[in-house]
Amino acid sequence: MTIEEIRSSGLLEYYILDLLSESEKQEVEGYLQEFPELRKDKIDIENALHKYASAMGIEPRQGVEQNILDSIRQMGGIKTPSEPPSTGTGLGALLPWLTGLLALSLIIAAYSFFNLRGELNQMQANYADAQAKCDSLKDEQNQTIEILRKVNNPDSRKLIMSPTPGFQETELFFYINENSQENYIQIRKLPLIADNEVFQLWSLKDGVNPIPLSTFTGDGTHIIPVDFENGTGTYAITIEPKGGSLTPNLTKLICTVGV
Amino acid sequence: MTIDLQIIELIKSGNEQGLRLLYKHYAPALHGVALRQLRNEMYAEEALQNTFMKIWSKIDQYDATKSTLYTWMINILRNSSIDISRTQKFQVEKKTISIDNNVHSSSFTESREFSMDAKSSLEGMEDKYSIVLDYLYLWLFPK
Repeated sequence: MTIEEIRSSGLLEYYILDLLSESEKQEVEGYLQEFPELRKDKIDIENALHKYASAMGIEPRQGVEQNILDSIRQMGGIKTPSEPPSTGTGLGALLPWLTGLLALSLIIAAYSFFNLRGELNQMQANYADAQAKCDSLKDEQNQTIEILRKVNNPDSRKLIMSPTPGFQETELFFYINENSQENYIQIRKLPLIADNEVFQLWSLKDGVNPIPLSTFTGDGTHIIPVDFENGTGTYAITIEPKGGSLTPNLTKLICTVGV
Repeated sequence: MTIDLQIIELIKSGNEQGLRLLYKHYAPALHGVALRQLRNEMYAEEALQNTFMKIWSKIDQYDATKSTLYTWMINILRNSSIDISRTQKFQVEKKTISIDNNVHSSSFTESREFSMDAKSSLEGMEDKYSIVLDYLYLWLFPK
């Protein structure tokens, strides 16, 4: 058939409306492949059908769309609803409330968690502080025990330092161990000094200028280690400016002890 | 992406939004055809609903190389309308209303008037198409 014969036969229209037998459909599909103009005609006819129907379209009454959607939902297969589930009776109505309740519960749980976590962190910090203090006290205790062990060593001599006039209330014990070359001072009472002053230990030897030794303040300490100077004849303590001096201030000599 | 392609992809993926778009763009046209074929609001709605359900369940069978989406749907609608028209209930109601008594008079007149209304609303369309449309819509549907 020629193109014009096909066009005037109505075959295209019948094909579009699915009114042909299988063999006739195949015949038309052959024509469509053979004649590109017919493919355009076919599209024109289909568009005309659509345009015609749209122009004469009649809006369905309200509710038809919802009926259709409900029917298809019942068929199943809808994987992505395009709007939230309608509020009504049953689980659908409860779902927003349950969701809100769950969200609220999660918020409360999260708040409690972070709150308790904060308390836990604080407790851990307090424990760490306490443990540090305990360790510090333990160290001090160990040091004290060690010092006591040393001053009680049979080789250690306990001497009473003699206060000088003007500092009669001074009360100090001097522990000396020539074998281990260690000295300790046990503070019982010291004169008050200014913030910018310290006590300083001196080694006095014949024919030698006083040798400056340890400085100390005496705060909260009872037995403190001090320098040992071999060959010392007398140890003396003066009050000096903070940091110590190279020569003793003899006006502030508070005590001495001959060793 | 054209609206037809968008609708097809959404329906194939089970997205309800595809149905909503389909309804928005095609329901008036399909409903109008069904109404003219069945001449009854209730049956036309039934045909429309059946058509949408078949579109939803058979979307994988649509072949864009064979026809436009509208053509495919209108054929589904036509078959659905035929099925409805063959039901006993429909046949009984048809007789009650005595449509057959008017087949050679008012229905013909009505169809010619309908045809003229359709022509007037489609200005610029080639005559060969308007004649075809008259034929397709008014004379092919069994009465």
